[in-house]
Amino acid sequence: MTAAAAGRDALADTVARVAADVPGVAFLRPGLADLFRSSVRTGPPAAGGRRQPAGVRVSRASGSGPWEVDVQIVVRRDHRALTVARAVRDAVTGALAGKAPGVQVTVTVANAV
Amino acid sequence: MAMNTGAELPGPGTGTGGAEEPSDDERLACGRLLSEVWEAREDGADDDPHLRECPYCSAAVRQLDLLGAAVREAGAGREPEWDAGALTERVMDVVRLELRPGRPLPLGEREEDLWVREAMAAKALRAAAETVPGVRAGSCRIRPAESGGSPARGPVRVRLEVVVPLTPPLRDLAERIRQRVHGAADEALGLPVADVDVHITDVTDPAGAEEAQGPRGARDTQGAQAPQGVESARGVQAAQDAEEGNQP
Repeated sequence: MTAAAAGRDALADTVARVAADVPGVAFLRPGLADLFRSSVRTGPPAAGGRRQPAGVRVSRASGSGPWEVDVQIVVRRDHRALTVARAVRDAVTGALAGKAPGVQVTVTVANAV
Repeated sequence: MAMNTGAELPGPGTGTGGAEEPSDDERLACGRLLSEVWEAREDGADDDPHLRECPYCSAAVRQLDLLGAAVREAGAGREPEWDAGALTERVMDVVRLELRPGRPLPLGEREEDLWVREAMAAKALRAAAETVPGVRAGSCRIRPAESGGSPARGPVRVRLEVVVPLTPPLRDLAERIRQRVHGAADEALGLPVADVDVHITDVTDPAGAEEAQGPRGARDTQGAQAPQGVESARGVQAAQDAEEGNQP
């Protein structure tokens, strides 16, 4: 794994942890459908391959550009989706302020349970 | 705000997430959609020979069964009052919405980068409409109210089909439904809504006698009593459409 990929995955892990702890977040989009998709199409994924947590995508347009973070969450039914989404954005932005200044955070509410 | 014209209305729905939607749905090697195979399985429609014989469909159904079994096992014995059936249903609901999430819709202010998936929003708005007694919500389509960038920010337009009890005046009932939908969009979601188009697709006898005499008989009876002379479902629809045209 390259250093850039390791850095990206570390950021993704931080995002996943911070987002999941926000009140009103039931869990991150679990990616259950992805599990089906990969097994139906190609069998189990190759061992050793590390993937970003489902529900979090971290990328950057160029090697030195700002990081872009996409978080997909499932909220609790008794919480307002907008309030939770804003709290996730603020928590992720705050947690990454040192490691990834200028990070752009997109939050999508995928479902409520 | 633009007047409502027929040309602006979103097309008739096929439920949340139509075929033209961007989707995470999976087309199996045999050509079937994964979501269709699962729905057939959940509906108990196992009389389709293809589903029994196709190796791809069989594999997909096996995965579904395994997930269901795993969920039931995880819940079993955890708490005495644990309702494994309800839990399974909720897990499958999450899976279903992952397959057909629908388009992203803007949450909050225009300059924010927050979104909600159409399927989830539609579920919440249908449930809000059904808080009006006797109302059953059907297709719910949510589209940007303004044309523009993709995906567009800004308020959305909701097109909701409902079946309502025939309790005139239907305009008041439609207005109550509209208010509930507006309220849920704001309070439960934070989704800015420009318009809610309520389409009454059918009416039922409020006394629940439709099983005995059918909706037509119920309508005729009620129509004679209705102060505004509601005579047919067609008239109901026309009145409803006229009301939408007057919407600000």
